[in-house]
Amino acid sequence: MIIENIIWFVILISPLFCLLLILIIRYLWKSIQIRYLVPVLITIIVLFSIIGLFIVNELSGNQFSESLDIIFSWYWFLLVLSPLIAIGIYLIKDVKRENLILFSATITAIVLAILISTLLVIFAEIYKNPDLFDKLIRNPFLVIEKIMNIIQIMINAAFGFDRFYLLLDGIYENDKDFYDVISRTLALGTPLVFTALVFAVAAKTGLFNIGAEGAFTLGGFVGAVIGVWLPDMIQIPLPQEILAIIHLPLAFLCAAIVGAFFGLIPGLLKAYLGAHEVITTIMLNPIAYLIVFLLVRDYYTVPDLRTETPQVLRTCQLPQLLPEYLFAEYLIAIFIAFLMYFFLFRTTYGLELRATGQNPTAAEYAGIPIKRRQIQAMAIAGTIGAIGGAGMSLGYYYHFHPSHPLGIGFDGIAVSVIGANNPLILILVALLFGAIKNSGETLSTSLFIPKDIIAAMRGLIILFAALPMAIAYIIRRMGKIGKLQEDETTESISGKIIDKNNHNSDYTSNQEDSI
Amino acid sequence: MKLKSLPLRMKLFLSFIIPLIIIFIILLIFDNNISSIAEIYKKPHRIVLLLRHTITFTIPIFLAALGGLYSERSGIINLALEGMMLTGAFSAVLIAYFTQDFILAIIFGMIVGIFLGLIHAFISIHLKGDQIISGVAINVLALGITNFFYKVILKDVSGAEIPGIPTINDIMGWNELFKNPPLNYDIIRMIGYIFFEQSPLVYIAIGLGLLGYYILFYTSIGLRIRAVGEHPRAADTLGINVYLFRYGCVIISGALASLAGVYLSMGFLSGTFSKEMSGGRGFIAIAAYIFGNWNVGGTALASLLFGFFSALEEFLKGQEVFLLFPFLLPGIGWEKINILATEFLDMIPYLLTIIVLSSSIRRARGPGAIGKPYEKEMT
Repeated sequence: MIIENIIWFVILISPLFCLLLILIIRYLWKSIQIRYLVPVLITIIVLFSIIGLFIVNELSGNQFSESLDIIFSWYWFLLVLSPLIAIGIYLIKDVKRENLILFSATITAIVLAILISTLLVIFAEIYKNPDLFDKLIRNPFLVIEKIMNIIQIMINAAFGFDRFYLLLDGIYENDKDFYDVISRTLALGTPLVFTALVFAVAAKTGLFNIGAEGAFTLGGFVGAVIGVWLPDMIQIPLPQEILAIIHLPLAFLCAAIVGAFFGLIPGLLKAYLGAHEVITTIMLNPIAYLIVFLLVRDYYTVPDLRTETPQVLRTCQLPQLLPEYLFAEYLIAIFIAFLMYFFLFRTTYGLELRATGQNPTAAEYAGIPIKRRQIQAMAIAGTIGAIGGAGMSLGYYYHFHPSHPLGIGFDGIAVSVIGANNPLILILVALLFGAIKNSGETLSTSLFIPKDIIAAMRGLIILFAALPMAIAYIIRRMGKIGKLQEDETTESISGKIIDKNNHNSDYTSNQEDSI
Repeated sequence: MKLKSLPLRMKLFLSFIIPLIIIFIILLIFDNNISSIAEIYKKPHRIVLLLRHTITFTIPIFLAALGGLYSERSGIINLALEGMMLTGAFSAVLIAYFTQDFILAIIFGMIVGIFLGLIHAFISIHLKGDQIISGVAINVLALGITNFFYKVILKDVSGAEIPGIPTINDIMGWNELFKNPPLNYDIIRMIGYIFFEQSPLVYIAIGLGLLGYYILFYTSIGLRIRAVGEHPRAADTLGINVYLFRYGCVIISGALASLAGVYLSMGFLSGTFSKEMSGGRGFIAIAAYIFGNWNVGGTALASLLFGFFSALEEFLKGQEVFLLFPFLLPGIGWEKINILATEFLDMIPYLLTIIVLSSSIRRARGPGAIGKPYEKEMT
């Protein structure tokens, strides 16, 4: 088969071609570092291979298209995952001793939380049939087996390993099943990227923003309303082509504006009236929910549906990335996370925000208007949350129901706390949380236990992440990795939002500064 | 008093509160439910019910706020009040369901609260973790675990009320009394109905409030608690065990908050548990003690304010008042909106919390060392 040879030749040649391209770029632009080019490299490899495959398919007169579909879908799958791989490669360079301890502390927190929730699951099972208790008493090893069994179910439900083995055996009909699992994990993790960013941006500025859920609700509502009722609003008959161009950007823009104003409220109250932002944001969540609930129930619905909007118009639907569950809001999430990383760590404005968070007094003496920075950070956070909500109702659901975002805000806090408020790490942690949610839902349906096990797991993870020093201490004792300044651990895990004004406990950091 | 002489925040506060009170008075005058004079003598007056509900709704907020006050006076922010209330409410219902004993239920509810308080204290005192994150974590955990166990254990008895649960009111034989509100001419009975025929936990709560006032401001223990919250290093130098006092205060706050939860599920609702039944009262309690200037008396008055508006919410339910001016809803058209819709009424406590917080907080300073973990000097 000449055609297959050509395919393999193209696939083999494309990395070399990319390497050549990167060397040329490096020659032309000497200051750029290789690590910035890694994502570019991966993207280009995949793109070139896909183009090569298409060319081959055209040359062979579409005879090849059936198996091409399979290969194409695999490439597409890798392309969807490529941002995550890129982040992983980018973060590997940051591996230091302290980060390793933090990383293992975080992993320990998650593992502990999952273990405790498996015990809860076993309790629920025992409560349902008490015979199990006798069995477990008689054979204690059965408990371990049970735990391993539950964890196996969870891992398979989250990452689809069992289906992947079927694929490797050559049963190609099943590849859709495999994509279902992965796309569901990614899709459940996507909103958490937004809500975690809401918390992270505010936390970097020294504020606790728990209002992610409210912003998410408002954004989802506004997005869906624009998505359904835009033709009624403008009252000018537009051709479908023009509507298709302006519809999606307009929906996201309106959601972003509403979210920004929603974020402004606690910011203004904090900066000028001194209201504690934790309580105001917590209180604004149910207010947003109630307003949206009232509007959707009484006005923005059609008679057949109860408290949900009808499906958004075809011109306002985000495209699907992977079959069944994953839509383009995933790419928006990753784009915004990259943007926030660049914004926070590579721009002057971001530096000012972080300075406001780390030491407001010093920032004020340095000439930074800290009140305005706080308000702006809250507004930015609200905007991100609202964009996430709009992406969810225009992508994953194609309609809006007020109960969609429930619980997402607290998940976001857990993600952000574990991810040390770093937008890049957040993406990975959020997708891990998506895996946990996916597996929890599968677990609850397969073992007939309530879905609230996920909420309990979320609380446990935040709780264990809140005690990093103990876990880091135990790990240091166990692994003898070396001595570590205790202040550093605490601060970097809880996102450097501990009040630095406490001079009593900050001797170490002061000394470091003076050195 | 001239209006100009008032501070800005007071003006803000009054400008929100006075219209609400005017609306309330108008609604009282044009009460829909009483159409003729003869009916007045047949029905209990609704204002009596309103005042009675005011006290009923005040108590859980006040108990939780008292707990938060102890904790905050010793220098630990306790955002976990909400979660403690929820677990207290749930575990009391659970124990009452299994043992049919209400005293055991109250004790067990408080023990669970103490346990959560211990977790919070351990994280924020010994491990020097972030107190706000720890509080949020306990809230989320409480929400998840109570729902999980509720669905696992009490799933079969899902409904408005779990049958066969003894409540305090049942035991004392007062439930019959509650069901017969006084008629309109019986003024003495009305006063009794408002103030003296409440659940026994109400009087326990008032007693705890008085006790808290005495302990915090008239005993050496209270002085030490306040010293620990104000300047832990100075207190440590004088030989006060900072960690011990902080642990004690957080544990007390856990016990009081879960007692508030017990009151929610078994006091004024008879043996009910539902998802998120605390409904943000833990956070309202935080607003209450901040508005009450970190004093017991002020906290009680602030809780009374919140309780009154919660009762008003019940009072106004089911009525319709449309605004004169229709709003433009994009895509739908001009619509008149009912300002007494259930959703708007449910919003009242949350809105009031935000208003109270933003109009009061800088009037006074809280404890000096609030939110900062204390580290002992190395010896």
